[in-house]
Amino acid sequence: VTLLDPALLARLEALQLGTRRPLAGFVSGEHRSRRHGASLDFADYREYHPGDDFRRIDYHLFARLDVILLKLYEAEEDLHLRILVDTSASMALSGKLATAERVAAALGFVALTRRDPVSVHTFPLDRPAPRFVGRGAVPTFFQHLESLAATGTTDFVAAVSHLLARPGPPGLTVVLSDLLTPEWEPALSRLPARGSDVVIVHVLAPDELDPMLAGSTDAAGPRRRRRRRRNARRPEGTPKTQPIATGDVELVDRETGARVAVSVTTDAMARYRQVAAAWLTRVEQRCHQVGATYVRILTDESLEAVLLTAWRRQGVLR
Amino acid sequence: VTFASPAALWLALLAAPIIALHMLRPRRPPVEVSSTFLWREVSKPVSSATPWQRLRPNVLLALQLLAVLLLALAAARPARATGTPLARHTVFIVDTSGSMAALDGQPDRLAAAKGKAAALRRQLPTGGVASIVVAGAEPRALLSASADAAAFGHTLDRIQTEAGTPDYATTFSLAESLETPGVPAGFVFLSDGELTTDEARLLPPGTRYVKVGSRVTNRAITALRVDPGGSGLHATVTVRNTGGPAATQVLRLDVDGRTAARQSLTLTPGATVTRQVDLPSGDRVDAFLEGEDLLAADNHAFAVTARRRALRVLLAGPDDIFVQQLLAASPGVTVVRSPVATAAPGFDLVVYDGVAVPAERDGRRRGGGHGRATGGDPGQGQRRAPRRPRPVQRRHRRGAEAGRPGRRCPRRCRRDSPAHPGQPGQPTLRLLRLRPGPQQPGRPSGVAHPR
Repeated sequence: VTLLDPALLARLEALQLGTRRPLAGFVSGEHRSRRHGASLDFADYREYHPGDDFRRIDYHLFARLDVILLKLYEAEEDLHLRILVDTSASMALSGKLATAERVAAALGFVALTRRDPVSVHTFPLDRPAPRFVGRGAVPTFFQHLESLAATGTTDFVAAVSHLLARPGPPGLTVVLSDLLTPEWEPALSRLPARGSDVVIVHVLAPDELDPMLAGSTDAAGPRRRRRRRRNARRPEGTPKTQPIATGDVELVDRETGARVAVSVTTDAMARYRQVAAAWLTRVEQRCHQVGATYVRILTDESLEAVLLTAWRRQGVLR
Repeated sequence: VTFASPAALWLALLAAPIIALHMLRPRRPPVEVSSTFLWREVSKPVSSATPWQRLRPNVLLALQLLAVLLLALAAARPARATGTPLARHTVFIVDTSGSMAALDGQPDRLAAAKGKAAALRRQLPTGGVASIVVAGAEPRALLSASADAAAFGHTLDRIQTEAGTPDYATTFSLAESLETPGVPAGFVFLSDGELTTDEARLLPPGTRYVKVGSRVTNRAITALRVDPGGSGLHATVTVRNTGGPAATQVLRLDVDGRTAARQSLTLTPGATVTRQVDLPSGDRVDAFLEGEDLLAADNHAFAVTARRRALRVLLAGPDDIFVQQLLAASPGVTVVRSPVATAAPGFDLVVYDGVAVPAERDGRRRGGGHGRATGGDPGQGQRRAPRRPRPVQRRHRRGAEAGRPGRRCPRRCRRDSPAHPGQPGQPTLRLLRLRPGPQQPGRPSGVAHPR
């Protein structure tokens, strides 16, 4: 187990996946279901129909109201966790794919310890989507996550369509992506179509929100590496002020190879920050509109802190 | 301030590419990012797409331009001419090579050099002494550490131009050898500046070079070759325009003092013209380049024809293998031996070796004709006897055949002998005087001709 620290795994064992509403499962499990079952939690009454179990008739109520009603109890079923990981080339920089893998590992570990089935889907759609069940599948699950590589282009809409077309209960769908694609919005809109609970985990690098934070790309040249070393010697707490580059540069899209000429100036950086902030707001609003839970994680953030505090507050984990 | 190598100032042009490089926009370096999705809305490059930009002053540019300027100045070797006082012992080295006879002085370069030397001599410090070294084919010190100004002037007056290539190496060594211990010595070299690079390196340290002459206009006959050709001579003349503008001059060729050919030559600057001319037979050919130029000495050249005819020599006397072999070794000489002294008509040369000269010699002595004395051409001797009853016997110098001065010739010959060029048309006869050998002290001296 290299993806997650054993201490973190120990703490994750006490958690379980949270959903915004009861979801129908496939087999009996530990999650509230939309169905009525045989748990101890009272759910509702309904009229008696011939053939119903006499033991469920509420005789006290019959004595008072002279109406035969049956007591219904909540069902507890399993929760199918579908993890959709963005493995496009844009996830290769700044350790975004590694962060996504660790988040997926944490969520999957929580699900597997609760005997919830987990399936891992990726886009581009050129890899298999294995299904894991039970605690014993944790090592295999982690190995599969570690084998993911960031290549290819983002085809988010096709990935969502492919995911929706797969059989099974709605379950919980967790999308791990940087959403740096023009088609993020239609893809997000289609995700809840199956009635599943959707969690959007927005994985971003710090310099994607603020380009003044330099040395974040792996393909850094000598100048950037020197700058990175300078930043490494910088005292703790000192904000990074070096830009991604200086002067006139040509930004090359890691995923598509598209080139954009940019003059890195203070005004340009400020404008980029505005654009990025507006984009983040739009993504978050869109997630709320479609009933998805939106959580953001930066590559330099502590995964333990995010999982055990922020995400528990947001109900992703309980 | 002057520059010793002003051509190096062209190095300053290196500033142009430096400025151009500063005006060229830097090529946008590619920076890889995860996605340009968000950057597209920011993509408003400040700089335009043109490759040039306005030159903005910056420290780096100024430093680079300054470095180039200093480099160019250093390579140009700036110098400042200052008047250097003469040393207490000044050695004047006067160039006496042939080029110093050029007529762009007063009247020639040598005179100008003398005048400048005299003027410099007057600038000697009090108590100073001067030496004079002549830079010629045979360098020599004409005056050594003399404080006498009059002697200096007289010595200068005696200096003449010399033929031949000056030996500068020996000249400079000789000048340095005149240095006296304890007295600071300086050197003044008066010349028209024909030193090669190697010769210039040999100049004594601190030599002040005083240049004389200013013009370079000159044409010269650089080669003259005469060969037998047909019934006459064939001359090859090479003329060169060694300096100055193009000129047209007349080349005149004289054979034995009579003009045999005239040709007009057009000489472009630096051109070398070779002409082939057929001439009548003769003994001496003179080539003249008519017209005036800087150096008259090289406008004339002469050549002696290599005519040679077979000689018959009578060797009268006892066997003397050495004399016989000596004569027989000469090409074209036929030696006939005779044990007794006898008249020898038809011989060009008669050698009486250890025998008495026949009585006919007295008659020849009286009559003055060699032919008759040897019996070779009595008629000619008789005809010439009234005009020249006693031909003058003169001593000449050995090597006169080659036109070189040298030691006195051990032979005693008539001056009209063909061994002496320049006397064409005279009868030819070799006369030889042989000394007796030490083992025959009583033998009379082998006088080959009468006195």
